[in-house]
This record gives sequence, structure tokens and C-alpha cells, in this order.
Amino acid sequence: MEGLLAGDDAAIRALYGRFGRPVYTMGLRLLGSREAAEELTQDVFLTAWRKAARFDPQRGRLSTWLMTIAHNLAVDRLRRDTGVSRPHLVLVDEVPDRPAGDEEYVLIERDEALRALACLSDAEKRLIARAYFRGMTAREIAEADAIPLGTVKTRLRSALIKIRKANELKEPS
Amino acid sequence: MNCPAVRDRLPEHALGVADHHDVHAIERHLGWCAACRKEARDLERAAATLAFAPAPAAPPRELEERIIASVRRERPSPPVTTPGRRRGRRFGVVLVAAALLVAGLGAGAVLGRRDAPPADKPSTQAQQQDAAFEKFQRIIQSAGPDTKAAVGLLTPSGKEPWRGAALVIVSPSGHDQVVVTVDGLPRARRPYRVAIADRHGHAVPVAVVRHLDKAGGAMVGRVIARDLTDYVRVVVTDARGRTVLTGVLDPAPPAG
Repeated sequence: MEGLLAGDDAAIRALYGRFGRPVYTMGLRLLGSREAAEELTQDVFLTAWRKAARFDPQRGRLSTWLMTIAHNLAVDRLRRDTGVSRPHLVLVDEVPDRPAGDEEYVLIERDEALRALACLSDAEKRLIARAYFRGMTAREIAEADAIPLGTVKTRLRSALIKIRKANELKEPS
Repeated sequence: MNCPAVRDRLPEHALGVADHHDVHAIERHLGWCAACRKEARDLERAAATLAFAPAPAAPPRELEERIIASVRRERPSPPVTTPGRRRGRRFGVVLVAAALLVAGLGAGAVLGRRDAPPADKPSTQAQQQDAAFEKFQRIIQSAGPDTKAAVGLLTPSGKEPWRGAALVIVSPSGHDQVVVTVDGLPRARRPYRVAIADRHGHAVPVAVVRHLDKAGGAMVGRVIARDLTDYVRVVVTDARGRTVLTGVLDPAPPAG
């Protein structure tokens, strides 16, 4: 983090080596085009450098901090850009060719994410995907699916709690 | 906004889709309410898990350089760079991969298990140093004539049966390489983190060791985009941040 604060090339490269791919992937998922994903990725790492001093390891993991920045920027852009094409809702794809080097970390994180998602019901998966990957609010989801707002909120909460519990189960290993 | 109202909105807040009008009030509440703050952090962490769910897509190769350039444009004092030093990045990556291959590891494995069992324990410090040189000799030879190598033993602070060795290859390309081997480490204390530091204590992470072979050994290597000439101390810490191995690097004898 000290290196990142100083704008040290090696520190930024290290951060990019670890998170460049998932951030870019998130951009593709939420924004739907390579150009938008590249712009998002650039903005995310620039923002991470600017905000590096605010990162507190006591509050959470580096991955949580950085991917939250990425997601917030992506959702902001999604809401702002009216002409953006929405991506397909696919949470679980085939595993791609094994990437090299730092990206082993990404595979581990992905494995954990898929295991956590496996704990959710289909309804919870669908709601989570709509909120997280399409930037839809609970009210928007409720109106689109014609279900009560309270039900949407309850399912979102229960889904996140299930994911959290799944994460807790794998952490002691 | 009171606690029930905040908690009602925390799932959407964690998912990044809370109403913009609510966000400020939620953040203000979280600033003083520890209980809601804890729930918010838990939900945020769960939400962040989702970021890794989609199958990874590969960004274009030039994107990394664009990001580096954008940070350079914004930072107040650009670093001093030596002309021509940037050229060697790809060469350096290839070199460290080749070095690991030469050392008997899987091709392309930055983190790899060793194929061979640990060597017999040399009895004296000098013999151990010689063994470390021997272990890295082929890597040093493959690094080319314009490089400088430094080697050191890694030892525990107590009488634990842990040991290791480290090699740094300083290259004219400016992308230097670190190779570290460890032996005898307990699996229960994984993951181990390997870092290299200069005399002022400035540390650069080298690798996270998540996998050990049956003898508690592993070998890791990394290309680092900086001049490591002054980085002479290697530190290995366990999952709780406790130092398990340290060592100081000395110039290696000429390869051959």
C-alpha cells in the first residue's frame, strides 16, 4: 500500500496483476462493451491510487475494497449512460483456459464465489444478479417482477447472509 | 435515519444500488453506529464475493501500460527512470519462467511444488551457503552475462527445523527477479508471504505461498519491475504475520 500511495509503478503493476482481470470482467458484465470495460478498469486503478490512504486492512480485505470501488464506479456509469447495452445475466460460465502467474489468485476467488452462490436459491440468484450485475434497485426489481418490495429486500438480505456464511465456512481452512 | 431504517437499506447499500438520496444518510449513520457498521461491512464483504463469479475475461495487453501512464500523469513527482530499462519486461518474465523450468519446476508456475525432495541438510553455515549457491547455479547461469546475482540463506529465529534460500538477479532490463525456496514449514501456518526489503525497511511483496509439498517446501519466483540492487533482506511471514524465516543476500560467485 505504501508503494501504491507513492504511485510506485511496481505497486500499481502488482495490484493490476492481481485484480486487473476481475475488474475488467466486471466492466464487461455491467457495461457490456470492451471500450467501457477498459475505461472502467483505468478509472478503478486511478481511483485506488487516489484513495489508497483510506484503505484500512482492519476493516476488510484488499479485494473487497478494490472490487467495491470497481462495482460502485460501474453502477454509477451504468445509471449515467442511458445508451449502454445491458449484458446477459450469466453468473456461471464455463471455466476458461487456465491463466498464468498472479491470476491463480483470481481462480481461487472465483471458486469461492461459485461455491457461495451455490448456496442460494434460484430466486435469490436471480435477484442478486439483477441488483449486482445490472445495477437495479430493489424497487426496480419489484416493479419489473411484480413482487412486493419487502419480498425483494428480504431475499436480497437473506442471499447476502448466505454468501457471508459460506465465506465464513471456508475461511478457517 | 435510525438503526431499523438503515438496516433495511444495507443490502442495497452493499450491492451498490441504494438510492442516492439515502447513501449519505446511511454513511453518516455508519460513522457512529458500530453495530450497523459491522453488519454493513459483513454484507459488503459478501457482495464483493460476487465480483469474482463471472468467468474472467482478458483485458487487452496495453491496458496495464495505459493505467501506469495515467497514474504517472497525476502523481506530483514522476520517478527517475533510466532510458531503455523498460524494454526488458517480457524478456524478464520469460527468463524467470525459464529459470524455474531449469530448476525442475512446472513451466509457467510462479508458485510451484518441487519435484525433488529437499537436499540433505548441510552441517555448517558455509556448507549451507554452498548448497544454496549450488541450488541456484543453473538459474544464475541462465540469467545471462549482464546480470548480477545475490544469494542468501533463510533461517528461523529459534531452533525450528525451517530453512530456505533466496536468489535475486539484478538485470539491466530494470525488471529484476527473485526466487525463494523454503523447506520444512508447517502447513497449518499457511499462507506464507514472502517479501524482500531494502536497508531502510522498504518491502516489496514477492509471493504468497499457499501450497507446500510433503516436506513443507515450495519454490516461488517473481519478476519485479524495479532495481533490486539494494534489496538485501528476505522475510517470510506466516498467516498471522509472524516472521518464520529471514535472511540477508550476498553477491553470488560468478556463474560457471
